[in-house]
Amino acid sequence: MPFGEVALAMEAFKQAQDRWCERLISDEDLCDAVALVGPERHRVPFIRAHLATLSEPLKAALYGDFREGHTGELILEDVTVDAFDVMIRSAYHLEPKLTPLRALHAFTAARLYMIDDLEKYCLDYLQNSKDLDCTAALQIFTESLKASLSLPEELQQTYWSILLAKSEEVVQSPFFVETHGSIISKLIKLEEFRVNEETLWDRWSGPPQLFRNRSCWGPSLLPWGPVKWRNTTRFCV
Amino acid sequence: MSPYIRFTQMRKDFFVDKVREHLDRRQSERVMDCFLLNRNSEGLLINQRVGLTDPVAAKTDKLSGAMREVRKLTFSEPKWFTMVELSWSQVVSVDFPTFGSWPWSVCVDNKTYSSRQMTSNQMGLCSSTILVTIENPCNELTVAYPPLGDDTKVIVFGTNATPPFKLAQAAVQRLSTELRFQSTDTLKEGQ
Repeated sequence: MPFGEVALAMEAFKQAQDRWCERLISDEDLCDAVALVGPERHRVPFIRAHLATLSEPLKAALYGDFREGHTGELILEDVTVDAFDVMIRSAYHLEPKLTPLRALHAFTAARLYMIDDLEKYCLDYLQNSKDLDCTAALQIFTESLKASLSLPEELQQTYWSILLAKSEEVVQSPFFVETHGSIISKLIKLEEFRVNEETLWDRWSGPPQLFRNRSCWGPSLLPWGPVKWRNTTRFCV
Repeated sequence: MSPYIRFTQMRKDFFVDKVREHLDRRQSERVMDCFLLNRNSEGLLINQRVGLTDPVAAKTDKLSGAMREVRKLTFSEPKWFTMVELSWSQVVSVDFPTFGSWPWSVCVDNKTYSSRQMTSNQMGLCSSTILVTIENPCNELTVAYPPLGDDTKVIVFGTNATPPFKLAQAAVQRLSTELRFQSTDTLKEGQ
């Protein structure tokens, strides 16, 4: 058989293997356990053996004398659905489909459950991915602050560098109005944060009709302080 | 008033139409004083944010040449060249017909810029400048100049071609203490 045809056959077989692995996730009949993921305890069926291979704590939880070993229910309140999906896909030898936020959540979970290789992989993605832009940096900072997750120093420095290198894009980012107040507070203090003050003001205050029905909360960065409006943090009078 | 918002960097009509109503009277008057009387109140930041700065790099090279010469200047780091100035002493070397008929030129980034214009000051020093606009940072440029005497100098102005991200990294290193999140940061918004 010519070399080209061999390569095509191998590729076709690899795709079939990927399909079989995808079925391990999608076909609930094959699963023998259920994870209750996140604070909402979202039910995600999975195969115990695969997850147990990821780390000793998970193996102990699933096959040890703990309650989970008997009930087939694994409670992972501090793991997001995204992170659990990354864990499962990694265990099934599938592409984990990382995005900046999925990587952050998976990094947190991997650190928690001592899945060292996944932790390193996510960290590398968070540090070097081409998907990193101002919006991703703002989202990751905000998520890490909300989750009280301490990002490694080098990651923090990378994200601050992205934000300073593209200051104008920061203000124009669709996520800017949802960004954690601590991040905005630090940015606007910096001489290096080169932005148009009018744009900054417009993005902060928003259309005039949005000023109504806002109640002040949180730290006072401006005299009027940030307010919460439809799940977004803004600053207004 | 937030000490970090540069109200005076806004256009006056923008401030009056959109911002003033959200400040109290005293705060508003401070900014208006600055706009109308150029008076700076304490605590009011009036400067534009500096942004990421890259130090200006200048190089001076002494040229010699009673003869028309071509000289290649090399730089250890690529730079964005912005201006090249040729200067010489009128007393010793000036030859206006020569300069006029043999314009001097700068060749950089595959483009050639030339000039016949010169100015002279009261000290008898003549100079001619060429503004350069290049798309890519370069680490060499070539100057071709007419015979002007041994005291001819060429001064190259430009900026270091440090990518913005590298400048930002350097700034972040410098500001690391201010930028590091404290454990209290997470609590501020969540409660």
